[in-house]
Amino acid sequence: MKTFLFTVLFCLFGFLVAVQYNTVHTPQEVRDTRETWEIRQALAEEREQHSAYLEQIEQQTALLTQYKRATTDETTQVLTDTVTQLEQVAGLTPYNGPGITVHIAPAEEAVALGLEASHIPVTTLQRFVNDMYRYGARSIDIAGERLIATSAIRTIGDVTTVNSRAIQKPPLTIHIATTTLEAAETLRQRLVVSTAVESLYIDNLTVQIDAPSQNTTLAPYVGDRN
Amino acid sequence: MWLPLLGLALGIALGMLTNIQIPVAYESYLSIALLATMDTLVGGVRAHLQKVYDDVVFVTGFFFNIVLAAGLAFLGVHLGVDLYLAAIFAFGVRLFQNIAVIRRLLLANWSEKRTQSKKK
Repeated sequence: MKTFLFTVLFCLFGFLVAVQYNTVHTPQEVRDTRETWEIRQALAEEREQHSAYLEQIEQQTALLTQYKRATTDETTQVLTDTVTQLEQVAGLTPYNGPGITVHIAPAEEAVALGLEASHIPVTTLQRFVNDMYRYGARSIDIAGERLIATSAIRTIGDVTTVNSRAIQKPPLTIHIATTTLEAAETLRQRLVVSTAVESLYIDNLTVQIDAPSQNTTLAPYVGDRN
Repeated sequence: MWLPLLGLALGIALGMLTNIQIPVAYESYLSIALLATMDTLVGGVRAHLQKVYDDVVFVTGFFFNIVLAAGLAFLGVHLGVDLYLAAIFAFGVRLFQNIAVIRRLLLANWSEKRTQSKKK
């Protein structure tokens, strides 16, 4: 009886060890539970990213070809051109091209009631800027302050600042650059119905978006580049 | 002696060939059951060497340990506390204690046999 019980228990022990080993060493299946529409959206985003990468590769390949063909004198010119191009992309040079202009001013009702104009709330302005970029803006200039990759919109004291410099109270102007005139029109239409515009109205500010223009001017970024 | 070892080999072979796996959520229960079985086996070997082995104590000890350990793990899961760790710790301590006793008993038996064979 003793031997039989030991045998059974040893058998059970061996079986449990094998099951534990199988469980631990089998890679867990990760199920994709997304529905078709979510997968299609993810695929569309990946395709857009793919196109953007191909465009970048094409640009860099063209630049590489230019470098290879250039003589010593031309190399300097090519490099200078590249630097100028990168400064344009970074926002360090003035811009003149397709875009739209947005005017933010105190609401007439607020003026009639004698309410004093205050700075645009930072969160509202940030949301407005996010909407602009989401709907196709290439570059933005808020009251003469150009937004670059390291720009910050924040409150210092009670004052709204961009690039650590105070911007004027409304009325103020925002210039937005786009790639084409058509993109500018699309941006204008989307901004008109965006929730950020409604948020600005709650703060007693009105938004007027001009028609797209081929000669929208943006000021260059002026400040510390660190 | 060989029969229990054969049982062990059979159990391992059965488990590997059937390739049974359990869901990750129940892994703690399986590890508890494994430790309880190991504790029962080592305790049984110790009791046999100490000549105090009893079938009923052996079998009931196994089932009671399993139920208590699984109950602790179950309670721990629902209270959000890793109570199964308490069972693992307790079984681990008992395992080492029993193995130490087995080692002493085996050494004592071996030493006694050696002395007796020298006398002969």
